[in-house]
Amino acid sequence: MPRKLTLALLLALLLVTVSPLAAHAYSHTITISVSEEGFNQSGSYMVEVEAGHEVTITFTYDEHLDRDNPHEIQILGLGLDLPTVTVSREHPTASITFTPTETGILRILCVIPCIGMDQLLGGTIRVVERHTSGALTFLSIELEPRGDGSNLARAVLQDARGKPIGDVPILFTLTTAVGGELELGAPITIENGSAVIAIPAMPGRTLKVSAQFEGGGGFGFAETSAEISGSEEAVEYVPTALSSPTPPLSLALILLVVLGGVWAVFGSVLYQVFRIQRS
Amino acid sequence: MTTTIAGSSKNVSVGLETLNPQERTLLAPVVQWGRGTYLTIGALGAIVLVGIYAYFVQWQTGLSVTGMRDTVSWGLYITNFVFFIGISHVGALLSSILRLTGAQWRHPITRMAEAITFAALLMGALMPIIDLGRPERVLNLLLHGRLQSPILWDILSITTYLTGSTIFLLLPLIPDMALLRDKFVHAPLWRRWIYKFLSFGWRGTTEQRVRLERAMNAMAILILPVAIMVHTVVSWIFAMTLRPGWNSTIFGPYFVAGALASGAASVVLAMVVFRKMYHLEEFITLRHFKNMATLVLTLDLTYLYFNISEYVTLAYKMESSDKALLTDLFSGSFAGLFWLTQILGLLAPAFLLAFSMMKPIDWLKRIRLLRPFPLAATAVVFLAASFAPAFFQSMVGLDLAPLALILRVGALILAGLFAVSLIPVLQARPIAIFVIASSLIVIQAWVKRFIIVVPVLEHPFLPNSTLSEVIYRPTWVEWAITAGSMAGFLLIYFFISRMVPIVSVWETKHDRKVEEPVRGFAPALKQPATPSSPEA
Repeated sequence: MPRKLTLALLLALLLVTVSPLAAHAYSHTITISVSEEGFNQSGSYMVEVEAGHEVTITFTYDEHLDRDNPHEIQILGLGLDLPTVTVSREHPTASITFTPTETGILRILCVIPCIGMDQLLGGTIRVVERHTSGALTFLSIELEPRGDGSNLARAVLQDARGKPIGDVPILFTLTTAVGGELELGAPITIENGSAVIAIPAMPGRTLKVSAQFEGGGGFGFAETSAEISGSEEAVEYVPTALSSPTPPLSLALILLVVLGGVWAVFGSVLYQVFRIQRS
Repeated sequence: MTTTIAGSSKNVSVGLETLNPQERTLLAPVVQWGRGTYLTIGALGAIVLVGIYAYFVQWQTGLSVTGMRDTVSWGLYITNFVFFIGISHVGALLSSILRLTGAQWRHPITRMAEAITFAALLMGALMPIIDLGRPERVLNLLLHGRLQSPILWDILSITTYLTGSTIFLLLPLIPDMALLRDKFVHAPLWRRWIYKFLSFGWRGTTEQRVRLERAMNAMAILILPVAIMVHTVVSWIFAMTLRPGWNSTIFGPYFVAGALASGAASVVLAMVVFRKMYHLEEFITLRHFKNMATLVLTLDLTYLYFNISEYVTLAYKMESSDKALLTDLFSGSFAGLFWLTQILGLLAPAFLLAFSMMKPIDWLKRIRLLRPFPLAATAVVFLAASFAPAFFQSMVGLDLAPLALILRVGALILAGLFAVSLIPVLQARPIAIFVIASSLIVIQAWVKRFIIVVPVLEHPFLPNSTLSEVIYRPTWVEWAITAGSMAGFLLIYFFISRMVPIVSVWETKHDRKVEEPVRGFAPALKQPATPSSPEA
């Protein structure tokens, strides 16, 4: 009995040791929601996974239309040949499992050309590089409002003992109002492990800023994010000459003079033709 | 009243007895509409009808029948638009510059160029309307357009240019229209009416000549800046955005240079076709081809320079927003088209034109080894053999890589010798070479516009631009409309050449009278006019 227990303990220890090395599997559920106005497009259709890991995307049918509105869904891109699945009132759930090997974008399409919206679904799976493994790192982020309505994002990178890690890039991204990710920049950490980036004023919006350390130099991948509510004060917007709602007088005058001049010459030429006819 | 038209054995009843043989040759295509004319009109008309049917399908169903979607919202139609506007520049360039500089050799080709401008503009102006899912909404541009928008500038400038180029085409036609009005008395009623209307009562009086000269000089001065303005504004539709690939400061001159190169090349093609078809060998000589070839070569090299400048500056920096697009162009899905346009569409024509115009290198012919076909065959054998060491390497157990390298270098040297051996061949057939080079440039012009429009849209640079794998594939509707528009352009052009002499009769006649070149378009002022003769 003690031998069996020892063996079981050893096996458990082995599994615990080995399991972090094995590729972990992703599981995502995407709910296809359609109303009379078409697909409900939201950020939930966008998924990020790492290359080399198994991914399972589950689609569920969530529609409350008068009639059944089945969807045939396909995942396209990166040279993958994946099966088409169908979700309907009768079969409300379907899954596609695959392992992407390349980085890039996979598109989720409804292959039934329902009202020509195949490309409007906009579901994507972003396959990114496998995160670098290494020593444990901690990344923290703070968002500080500034007087002019803008914010300052400050990320601090430390190792497991709390020692700052300098001279490495931290990628800052902003989650946009339409569900995408805008890369703000990748400043380098200074000696105290901090990297700072300014975020323009976006009144009335809650900002979600992410900081990411890709890993390297023996340190592992780390990611964090924070949110802050934008100032309610509207920022004064000064339109430029070309973006103002009404045309600037100078532009109208230039157009008038140039085009008026050209058409005046046309008029004089046609007058000559008229005189040719009359002479 | 029976006259034999030069260049034809068929007798037709026309009132052209008082004309000399040269004038009859020039008027023959106008007065004689044979079976070939109707067949050509029928064939081109049939393609146009297919295009009209495709547009009808699009009009009924909407733009979903095209390959365009929300991401790639411009495709073949805008490619055609930029292409047609581009080749339309040649009328302004040739007529305006050559008229103002008093280049007498221009006379046999200016009308061809002006007619290209007119026909290309008609088709080009249609394209943005076809590109609209709801064509009636084009009126919204006029009703609710914003003066700050390059789209509105485009509408205004193209309308202006179309009006100007129509006037510019019609003005030098007046004396020839009068000639046809007076001499082609047995023409069908509708044609006689057109000749009468468009001759504007021309009798060739001194006052009429002075007024015509004044009008044409004004148009010659004005049309060139208007043409440059139009294509600059077309380029601004792209360049006024922040999209990678379009966000460029040199797009204006870049587009103008490309437009002029393709336009001049299309005139060379028109010269060849009309020379053969209408027996104009006497009027369009090797001198005209050589002058045009020099112009095409200059413009081709200018455009090549702009291409290098545009892409090298972007590729050197490889900014993240440009990287995806440039990678796709240089080595991705558009690489084939991109390198074909650069090498086969710009570089190869430059070499062909340059070699064909060089002084004959007779001593090259005496070198027995310099024979094109044996050299090409040997180069191919060397290249094929260079891959053999890779197969045998494992069998013989030796490193054969140096041998493969030697064979490839040998193939390269042989290819170079092959190019040299082609020089005498090219010089022996200059017109054929001009045709090949011009065709390559015109095809390049269309493909290059496609490359400017589509890949950029396939690589949007927006915060939610995760749809980077969007691929635009034109549908049969777009191809049919494109074919219809090309046929429409050719139909209009062919129709013009059958309605009026494609080589100006009165200007050519004058050329033969005056020995010394005279500045200005209407040097006949130096001679007394004969009121009874329209072209005197």
